[in-house]
Amino acid sequence: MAGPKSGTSVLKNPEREAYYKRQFRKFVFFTAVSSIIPLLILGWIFNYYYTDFVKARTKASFVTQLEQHCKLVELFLQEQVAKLELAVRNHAKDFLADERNLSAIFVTINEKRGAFTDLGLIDSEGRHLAYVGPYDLMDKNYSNSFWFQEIMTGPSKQVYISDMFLGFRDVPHFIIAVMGTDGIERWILRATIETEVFRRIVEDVKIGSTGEVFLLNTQGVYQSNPSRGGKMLERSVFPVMPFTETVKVAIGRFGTSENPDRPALQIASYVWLNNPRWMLVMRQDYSEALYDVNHVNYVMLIILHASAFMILVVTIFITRYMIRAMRKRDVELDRANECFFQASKLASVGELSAGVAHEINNPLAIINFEGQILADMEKESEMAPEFREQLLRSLARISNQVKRCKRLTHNLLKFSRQTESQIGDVDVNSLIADVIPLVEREASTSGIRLIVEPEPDLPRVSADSSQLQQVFLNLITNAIDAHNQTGYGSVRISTRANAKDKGVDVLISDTGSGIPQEIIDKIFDPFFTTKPVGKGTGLGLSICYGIVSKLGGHLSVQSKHGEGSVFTVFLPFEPPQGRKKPGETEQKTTP
Amino acid sequence: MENARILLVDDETEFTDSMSRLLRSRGYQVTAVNSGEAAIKALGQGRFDVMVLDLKMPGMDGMATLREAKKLDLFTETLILTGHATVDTALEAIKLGAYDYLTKPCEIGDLVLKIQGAKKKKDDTQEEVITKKIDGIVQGKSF
Repeated sequence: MAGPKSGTSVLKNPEREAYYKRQFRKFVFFTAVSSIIPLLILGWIFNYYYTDFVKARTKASFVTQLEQHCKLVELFLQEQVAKLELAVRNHAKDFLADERNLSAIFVTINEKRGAFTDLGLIDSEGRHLAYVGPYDLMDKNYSNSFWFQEIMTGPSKQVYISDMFLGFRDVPHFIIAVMGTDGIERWILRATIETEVFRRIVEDVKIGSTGEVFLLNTQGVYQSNPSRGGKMLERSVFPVMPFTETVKVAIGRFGTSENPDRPALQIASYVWLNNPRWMLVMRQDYSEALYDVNHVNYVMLIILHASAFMILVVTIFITRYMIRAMRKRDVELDRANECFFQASKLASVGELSAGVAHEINNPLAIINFEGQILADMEKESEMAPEFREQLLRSLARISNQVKRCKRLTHNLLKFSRQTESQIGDVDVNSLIADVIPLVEREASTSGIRLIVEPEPDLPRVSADSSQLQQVFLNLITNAIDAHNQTGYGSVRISTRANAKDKGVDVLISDTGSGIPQEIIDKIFDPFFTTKPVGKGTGLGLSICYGIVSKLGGHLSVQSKHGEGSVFTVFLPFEPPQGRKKPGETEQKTTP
Repeated sequence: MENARILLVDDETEFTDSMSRLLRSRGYQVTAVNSGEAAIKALGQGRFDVMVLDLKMPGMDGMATLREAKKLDLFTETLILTGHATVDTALEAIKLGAYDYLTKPCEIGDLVLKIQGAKKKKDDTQEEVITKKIDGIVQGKSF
């Protein structure tokens, strides 16, 4: 929809553009502060507590798992000790010294698990009295072995479990020795635990790909095979922890033999067994232990930041949309203001004109009458012919000028009183067809071609037909005059339905001189004219503007200096509310 | 037809002066006054065929003068002369009983034509009324 003055440029006002930019920044900033920041804070807090919670749970699960595992290992050892103790308590040395009997016991205690590799009876001198097992150890003397000395010298140490050692057989193993006594003589029932069976029990815990379970003795030597580098009887890089009966959890870079240079952060739980003094350790890379929580955190943080980003994007879009709406509203407001300004200007000019016209009419009438008196006298007087001729010419001129003034004052009065409209259904096409003959003569003498392009089946509008006629007559005459007597050119009058604004557009375009930008704002002002003195009153377009506005439409112009102008008359199907009904005349009392 | 007796009413002396001279030179008997009050007084004192009345005057304006004049129940016809070329004020005046209207500035020819018309109407009305009165007397009716 073209405004009443498309030539004016309210659209590019740098001050206002800066204002829009400021508003845009402000809105985006506040929306971001009030929605994105709380969201991020909430997300981060949640994330922090969730991580904390999961960490605690992971630690707890490490404790529970190790507790159970420790119990399992201890139970295994206790079971083996109990079997040996049973044999020692129930049988005399001589009975056990019989290899057949020992072999039968070996078979019995080994029935279930196969946990024993061999079984031997050793006297107080360290000599084998009997031996059942795969090695040829009958002639071995244990009197110098550390375990033998330990059990023999220990005051009441009836059960002894050794650390892993190589011994005579040169294979890592450990033994359980139970001391028996026959009054004063001491003897020992010694059994070797099947390393593979023990290892299975110790190492049989599944904890991810980086998890491992192992046993260390008080010197930090592996008592089982760790799964991540190092092996039994080697020194572990894992520190020997202070003695504790309850399971503890530690997080740190303990290092593995696998890659000692770049130790990964690990979570480890440990506990000391009572007999033997071995430390059971379960550890796993921290990243793996907390993989799930890390993954969830990662996904959550991505979603969180994506949401924040989305809010920002949506905010920017909404703000842009709003600023656009604001700008549109401002432009419309400007137009409305302009219309209002124009209308009030017209109204005050109207009042003024009415007064002026009335005041001028009286002196005009006197001039006219006085001229008439002179004319009367001329007829009755005798005078020189040249004088008479001069007098007559002057009188004719006076009469003409009075008539010109009268035209002006009558136009002014018409302009000031454009209220007496008779609204009816008007067929704009036929109205234009009526106007054309009135301007055809002028057009053809000026060499201007009139082209009429009516849209067929144009809807009728509610308007005052005689006023509209005046509008079109005026606009077409102006369009012809715009060619400045060049002797060629054309004026195109076209009509079209304007469904969007519910009305009819009438376009009057010419190929004339166009309107310079600097005066395009003024052309609808009363008394503004570019025509030579005496040719135009400067009221034509102003009257047209007033008429069209009163009918609820608008008159706008688009022009390029030197290329011509297009005047667009928009007429609504229905005049605005509050306008007079057909046949009703508006009363305006004469002052 | 004898020349009409005209009462000119306009607040502007120069205007009434010019117009009086013009009309007198055409053989009319012209009395000029410059206010509504003076016009009513003149109507009470003398006899006029046509009153040429300006609408816009200080004090008693044209409309008020016309109303007052009508109350006098004279045969004098009124011709409105106005600076405002509007149909509605003229219509109002005609509803009040004015003969016709002219807009300033007017041609003397048009003015004379309308004065003649008004004079003729006044004469006709007067004749009609007198005839009726005479008829009444003849038929022995009192009035």
